[in-house]
Amino acid sequence: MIVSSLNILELLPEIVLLAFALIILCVDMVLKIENKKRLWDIAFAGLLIILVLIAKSFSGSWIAGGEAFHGQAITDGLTVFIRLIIVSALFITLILAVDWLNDKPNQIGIFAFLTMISSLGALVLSSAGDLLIMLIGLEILSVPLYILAGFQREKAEGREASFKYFILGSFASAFLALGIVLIFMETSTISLSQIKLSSLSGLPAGIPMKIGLALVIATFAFKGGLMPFYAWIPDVYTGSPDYVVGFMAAVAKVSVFAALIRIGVAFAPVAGSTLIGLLAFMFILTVILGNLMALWQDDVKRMLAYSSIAHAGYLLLGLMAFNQLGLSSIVFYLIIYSFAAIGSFALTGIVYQLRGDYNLNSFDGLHEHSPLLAVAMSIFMFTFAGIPPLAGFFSKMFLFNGAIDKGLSRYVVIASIASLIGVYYYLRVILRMYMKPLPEGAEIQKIEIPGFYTKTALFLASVLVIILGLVPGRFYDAAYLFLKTLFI
Amino acid sequence: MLVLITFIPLIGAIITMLARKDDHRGIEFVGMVTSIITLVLSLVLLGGFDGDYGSMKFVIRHEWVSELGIEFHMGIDGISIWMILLTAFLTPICIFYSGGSIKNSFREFVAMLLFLETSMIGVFASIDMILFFVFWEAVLIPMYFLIGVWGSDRRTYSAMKFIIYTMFGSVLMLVAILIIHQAGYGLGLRTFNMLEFPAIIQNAVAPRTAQILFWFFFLAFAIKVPIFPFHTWLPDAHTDAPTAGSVILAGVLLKMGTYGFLRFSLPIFPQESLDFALFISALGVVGIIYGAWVATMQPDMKRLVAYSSVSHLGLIVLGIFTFTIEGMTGGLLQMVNHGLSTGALFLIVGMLYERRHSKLIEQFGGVARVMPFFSACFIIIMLSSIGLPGLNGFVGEILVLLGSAKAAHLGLFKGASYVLTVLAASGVIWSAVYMLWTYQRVMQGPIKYEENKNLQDINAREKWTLIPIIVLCILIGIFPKFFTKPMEAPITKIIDKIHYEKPKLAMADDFPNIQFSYQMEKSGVDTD
Repeated sequence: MIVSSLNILELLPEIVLLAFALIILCVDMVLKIENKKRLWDIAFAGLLIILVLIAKSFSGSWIAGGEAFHGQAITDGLTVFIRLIIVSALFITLILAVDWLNDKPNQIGIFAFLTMISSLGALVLSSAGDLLIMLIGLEILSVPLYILAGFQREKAEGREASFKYFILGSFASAFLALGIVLIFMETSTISLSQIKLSSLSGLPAGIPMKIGLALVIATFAFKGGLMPFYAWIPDVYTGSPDYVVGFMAAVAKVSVFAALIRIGVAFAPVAGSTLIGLLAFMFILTVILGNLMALWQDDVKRMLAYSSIAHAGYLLLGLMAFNQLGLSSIVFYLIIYSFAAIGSFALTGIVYQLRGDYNLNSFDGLHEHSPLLAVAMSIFMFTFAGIPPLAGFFSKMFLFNGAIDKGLSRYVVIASIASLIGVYYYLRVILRMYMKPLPEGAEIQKIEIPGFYTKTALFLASVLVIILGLVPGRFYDAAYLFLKTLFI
Repeated sequence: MLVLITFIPLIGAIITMLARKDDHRGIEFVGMVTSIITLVLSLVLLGGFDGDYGSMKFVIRHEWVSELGIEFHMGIDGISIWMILLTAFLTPICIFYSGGSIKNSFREFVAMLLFLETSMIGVFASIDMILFFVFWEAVLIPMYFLIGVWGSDRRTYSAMKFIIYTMFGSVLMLVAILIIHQAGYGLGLRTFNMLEFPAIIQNAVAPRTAQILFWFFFLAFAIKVPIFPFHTWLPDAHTDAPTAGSVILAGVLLKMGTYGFLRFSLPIFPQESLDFALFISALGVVGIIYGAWVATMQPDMKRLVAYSSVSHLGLIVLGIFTFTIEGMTGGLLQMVNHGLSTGALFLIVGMLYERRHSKLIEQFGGVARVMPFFSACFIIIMLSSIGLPGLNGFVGEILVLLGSAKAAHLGLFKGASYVLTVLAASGVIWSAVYMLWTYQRVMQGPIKYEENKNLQDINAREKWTLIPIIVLCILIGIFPKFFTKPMEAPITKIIDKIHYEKPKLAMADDFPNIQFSYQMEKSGVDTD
């Protein structure tokens, strides 16, 4: 009786994910080292089950949305989409890792476990129905990421990245807790729906709530890598393993923006102006400085790290608009960003293995070396730069459209000019690959890089980017439809 | 049908990419076949109009992103068909020519050219603004590679400059498109249909905003054309592009800008176009004279032709912003003419370059003695570019000048048009100066350098690249009416929307009408 009122089945994908993560952890302990590769079978089987579950939820009845644990978890259209993005990002990351961990079989179990738990945290965060669940979700998301950042223990940069991320991240979580307390002081509730109800009554927000809200936003801005809380991103991303950075960037951004959407829904009526002011400030800083700083990087991995900051900036445009058009474009942007980020960071890793350097000139003449890698990288770069017919164009266009709908044309002009800077530094990579000769004396190594699984993952990511560019309508229309419930 | 024409080259590009890397003949065969099929199909399109050129024909309409009203919506009228034909005509020529001149990664080269053709035709065939924008930007990708990979000298610099420069204009145009789209919500429209945009501007956009939007559009097109102060990317891009790239760049890509004025700026913003027409025409005239003067002083032939493009495109812009049937028809015809003659000039420079590996004028001299056939082709093309009666250039130029004079007569810009007409007419002289002088220095006189004594005359392949262009140049020169007739209906439609005070309307009837201008061309042919 009590159990059934919890609506626990609404969270079936999360439960399956947790179950498989735990199964992997347990099986890992009993397996002999030469059998550890079997763990991948378990992981992929689990992910396929979850994907099937998610696909089933793309039917009409889900648009209405639901809840579990008495409103502590919201399972509406947004949740469904975030699940889809995160689980597919996880899927591609795990495929990438198959080759990467080929000669370190005793790390397979822990890697799969950490990524799955981190995704679980992202799912909890993005479907949180109250502020404390958000805090919990954020922790479940972050702690595995701290470990993953230092996953290559032999690298000093990795250890540094992990430590830095951990210290700063803990700070941020503390701020979130403080913010929640301040909000609680004024509203006497931590439930987002309660806050929305009370804020609809028309009382203006007091000082504690404003400060609290600012702290909450700052925490998420930190996790999402928005200016002025971005400083950890370049170091942590550069130090983390190449095949994980894309996952870190994608999962953190997806869940953070989902959480920000939920916060926006609850607080917009009472503290709309505070929110808009904060977001606009961060938007201008992030979009302009993020792009400018990426421009100066000669290290491709660092450049991508800075550009991930800039992309988070564009996403803010959708939050500022906060209409159905803008929010559905955020969802659309996130899925494309996730695929392209995972793919491009993995490619920097491959190039590092080939040439031993992340520097821009290690991309020289890559297309002579490996045409397919060069094509894949070009697809990701053109996507990031927002040049049609690739999906990145549509994601930006939808965002701009949503913002203009809300009368934010000025910000759109800023964003579009800033994106031009992006065109320059992304195309610089392509230029290196196609228009510079292979460096003198760089003999083409005949190592089997990338392996079969890496190729598959890159292929999946780039094909998805192309397909979403050719038929953006299907996905965007669905997102638009599914996000309707947020505005009721 | 239209979809076929648009995407056959893309299919061809994919097929070529599947070919073996060193199968030169096979790749060329696929490239030629696909591009010629496209050409034939576009000729079929021309025949399929049934005399009604004013409205959109061959319309295809599918939903693309239904929540935003983005559609896969294509259609063509008497303006776009010529641009499509020009594209379809120049692409096989480029592939054919490159078959003899491109040695490294020919497969990718042909694929890029075909991809480029798809996006260019898409630009000219789109009705939906987002679809148009997608093609408009997609053009940049193959062009970027064409310049950057197969170019010469500072190719990477030029490729980057080209793409950043043109994107700067187009992102603002995208913002403008989105703003108009949003304004449409106020009228209950959720559409990117370009045919609905004029109504939105008129009924739902404040005049002040409309002006800003007009400038956003203007900037995108002006950079692409390029109009005078925005032209600096052009000489670099042209100089460093491979020959086929230059041909397509000059022949079609620049026309995307003027086509944009004709198709979007004027119909969507009739009032704003009129308000700023004087300024824009003045820029056009400055371009004519500036381009010609700078061209005269260029030591590098490719740069010279590039600057002559600035000059010619200035004339086209002037023609479009006269708002007279003569001027706009002339401008449109001149778009085709310029595509042919300048494209051919780039081919000619390319042929010289392949023999001597130099584009500098002073490296040549007396080439006519060793390359007689070549010199004959050169002279015809050159005269067509100058605008000799009997060749295509003359018809376009005289129509533009006539239109400009008529506009002055009708009181446009309170008579300032007279000044513009006179200045623009002087451009014809300047173009004669730089063209003839170049010809003289390159082809005539004694042979200065030993290397030039043994130059081979052009081979069969090169001959057959130039001959179709020359034939077409002469055809347009002799039968201009065949080409201008279809343009009239759509252009009249555009002009009808532009209302300006015509104080001397009574006198306008006395003005020699368009029939007269054709007689003039005919007589020009006779005396030639």
